[in-house]
Amino acid sequence: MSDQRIDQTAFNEVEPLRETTAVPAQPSVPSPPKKKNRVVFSLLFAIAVLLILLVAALLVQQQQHQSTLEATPTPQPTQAPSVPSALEQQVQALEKTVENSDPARNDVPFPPVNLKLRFEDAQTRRD
Amino acid sequence: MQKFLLFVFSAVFVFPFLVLPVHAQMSETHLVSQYTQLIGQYRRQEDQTNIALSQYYRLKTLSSQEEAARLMRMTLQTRAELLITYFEILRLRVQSHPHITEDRQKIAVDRLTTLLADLKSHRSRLEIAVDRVSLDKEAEYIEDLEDRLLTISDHTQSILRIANLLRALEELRAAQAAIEEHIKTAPISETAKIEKQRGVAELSHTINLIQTNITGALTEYDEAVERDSGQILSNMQRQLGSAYTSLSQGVEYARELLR
Repeated sequence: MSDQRIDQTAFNEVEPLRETTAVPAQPSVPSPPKKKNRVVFSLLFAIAVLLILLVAALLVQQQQHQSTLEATPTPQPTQAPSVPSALEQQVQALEKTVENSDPARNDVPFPPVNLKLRFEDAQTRRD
Repeated sequence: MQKFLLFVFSAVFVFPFLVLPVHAQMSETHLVSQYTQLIGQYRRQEDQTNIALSQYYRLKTLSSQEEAARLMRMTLQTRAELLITYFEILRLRVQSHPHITEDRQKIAVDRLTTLLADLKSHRSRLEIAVDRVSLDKEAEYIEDLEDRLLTISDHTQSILRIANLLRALEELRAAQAAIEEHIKTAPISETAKIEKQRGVAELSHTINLIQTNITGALTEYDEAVERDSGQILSNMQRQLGSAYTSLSQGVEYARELLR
């Protein structure tokens, strides 16, 4: 029973049309050492960083140079604040007094109170 | 002995003049801040009282009546305090204003003092008023006092307004005199001098106009006080408004003349 074929549709005599040929194994090439690659990459990276830093430093230096080259504004002769004369002061004080004498202004008006507040009121409201 | 006499003299005559105005100013500032604070307090209490009263009329229970009476008493007390503070401020202002004549000052202060005494009695009575009837009696008292309160307030505010305008007018007159003197001695051409003198003449005309308006307002005020009228005539308000406009114009002239 053991040598009985499970696939009943296949014939015993039928030869396989194509034989699977085993591919000969390639001779193993010694891979280049990975350490070397790493060193090259890190070197390139360091150079790139250095270049960026160099460019940045140059730019900063240029800006500083430009700012130092900018013409410094000539100091203007500072005018001493004009001291108002006694007469001007008098007019200024007058202005303030007039402003305070505005009859439309009232800082203390009659208190906004209900002068008709009592118990009865509430009752009337209710009725 | 001389030193002692000098001390007594300064204590009696000099000290009051130095200390009293400062004291008056300080107490006025204090009173004004108290007035503002009391307005806020009164508003809150009045709202609470109205709620309590409506609750009492809805429930008609003894506890709701007691609560309404408690709040009503508090509100009436605050209202009395507020009115007292307000009239104290007015009295202090009238007393310390140098541009109110002595007779007008006396009349205004006397009326304010009497009113304040009445308000203080009302405040004292409120302290012992706990039931609804006595509280309503005090509320009625203020209701009856309403016309007097408003009249005295109107009159006092009016005399203070007039006095403030008089102070400004006095300062304008002094400025005009100083400007006139300045033009005379100023190193300017004769043509410019004539031009400026014309400006001074214009200023004098404005000053006369202000004086006329203020005099008119004072006459209206005196009449209203004499009649004890509750209405300060609108004519007076108009005159005060015109005086103020002319004063502002006068200041403009003065500024122009200084240029």
